[in-house]
Amino acid sequence: MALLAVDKLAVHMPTLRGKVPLVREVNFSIERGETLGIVGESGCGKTMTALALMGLLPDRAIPSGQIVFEGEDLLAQPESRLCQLRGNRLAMIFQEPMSALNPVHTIGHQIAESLILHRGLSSSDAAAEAVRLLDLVRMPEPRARLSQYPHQLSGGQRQRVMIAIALACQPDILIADEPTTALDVTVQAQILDLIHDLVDELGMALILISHDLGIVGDITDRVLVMYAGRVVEAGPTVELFHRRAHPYTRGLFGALPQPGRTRGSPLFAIPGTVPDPWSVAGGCAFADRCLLVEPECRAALPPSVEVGPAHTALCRRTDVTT
Amino acid sequence: MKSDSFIMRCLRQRNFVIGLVLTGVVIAAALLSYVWTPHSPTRINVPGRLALASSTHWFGTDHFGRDVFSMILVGSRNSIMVGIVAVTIGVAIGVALGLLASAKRGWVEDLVMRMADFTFAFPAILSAILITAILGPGTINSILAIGIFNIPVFARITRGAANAILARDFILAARASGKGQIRIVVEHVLPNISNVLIVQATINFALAILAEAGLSYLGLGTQPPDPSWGRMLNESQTFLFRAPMLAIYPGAAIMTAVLGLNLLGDGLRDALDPRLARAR
Repeated sequence: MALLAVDKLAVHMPTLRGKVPLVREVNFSIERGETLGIVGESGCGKTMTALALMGLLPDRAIPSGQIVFEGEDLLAQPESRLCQLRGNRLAMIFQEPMSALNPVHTIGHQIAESLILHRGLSSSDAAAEAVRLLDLVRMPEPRARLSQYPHQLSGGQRQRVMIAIALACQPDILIADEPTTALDVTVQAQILDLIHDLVDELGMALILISHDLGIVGDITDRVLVMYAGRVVEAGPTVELFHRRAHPYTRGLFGALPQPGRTRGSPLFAIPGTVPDPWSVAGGCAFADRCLLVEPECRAALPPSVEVGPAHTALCRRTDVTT
Repeated sequence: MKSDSFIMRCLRQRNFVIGLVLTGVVIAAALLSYVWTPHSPTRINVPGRLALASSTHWFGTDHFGRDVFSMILVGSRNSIMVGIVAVTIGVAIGVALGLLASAKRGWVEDLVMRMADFTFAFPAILSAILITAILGPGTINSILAIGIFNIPVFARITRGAANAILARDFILAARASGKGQIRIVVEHVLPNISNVLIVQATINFALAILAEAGLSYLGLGTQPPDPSWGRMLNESQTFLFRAPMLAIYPGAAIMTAVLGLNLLGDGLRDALDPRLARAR
């Protein structure tokens, strides 16, 4: 049995126009020590999927399907049980380290909180453990940091603190939602290396959410490509990066700047814009932007096609190679 | 980064300094009255009634010949005590209700807020009169009445400020580390809204002093023979033409306390929220 198995996960948001699907039919599973990447553009449902895993969806959102974590369906658990799991077995790192720390509490206090809450440590033991964790995330002068406030740290340092908090209780699954988007490029690389090393060291499962294909290609074993709330392509990272089956995935890769590109030549852009979630009817959500579109694409949802070992794409035109 | 301390920032606010001095005078008067007053504030001396200010009676005497300066000193105790207790009642219950409302949302929030709206529908002094009319006049009951009026004020402001904090990223992060909603509002929200609450408490302290004076003026607050600024005003009105100073002294005392606390609150707000200060 997988550590975490997600089956037909969907998230709907009730609005004045009726229930809007934000995430639809997401299926995947992940084992300990494995890293899974979820890529897609803004609004494709990556973050909603992550929040659903944590049970932190906005109040009005309605999840359905199953999220089975070690035999327990998380969607069926009461809030009190989820509180025991969050921060303890499942942990999450957020996109904005600048605002994800409470400005009125010290760094030491914020790391210790989790330790006291979930591991029942005394406050002096928790402080000692906080120093060890800060050291683990390669924070210089960890002991001096304990009494500092978030505004005294840089963005990269704050993200290290966030990682230390997430790792405090040695979670089984770490969800990193765009962990480096708000950081500058050199710090990005350091933080990613850190996350990658820690996943290896501690044997966690990592779910890395990003819009950056380079990052995902570097550190994940498998990738899900999401578009308009659906997983349109899934497979082992190396395989999928080699044989891009879905036209959307190809578009994403095509939009990457290539070395040696002539200066001033425009980058490839996928034509059109992401459809509003409520306007996607029966067919393929990508149909209006797809260069290979056929009449059937608009009529019915394309089948899931096996294009390689453990590699599937939600498309009729996977036969076409670019 | 902490180039200047909070206290230095406060002291650079003119409002804060003036408020601090005025409030300090009132508090000093109250403390002084415990150890020393020129005369007993309750000693009646009818032959020496309605005396003008002199070296023996600094503020003169009232229609019973009591020493007005001593009465003002002792009366300040009453005002401060009413202010402290009434604001404490308002803060303790109001903040708890406000936090509960924003933690639970849904019908709990609606219930608390509609109750606050209901209480707000009556003018403060009217509901205070209503409560003292039911419970009977007296210092304790007037404190209760003013305290009850303070509850919805703090419930509202707490909920409003708390909801703004609850939408921040670090709250989501706190939830992701497994904290329950109640724990989050107490540990993460409350410290972030304390500045708003401190400012409001200072201003409501002034309002409480004013309300106590009003109730005592109407005969519903502090009862004789305990001196109270409000009742001194009431008693002086019969002699307004013969001895106008009798009304001016307690009036000035009330004004000093209220103005001092209001300026203190304004100064605190400007010091706690520099953005607001610049916008003004």
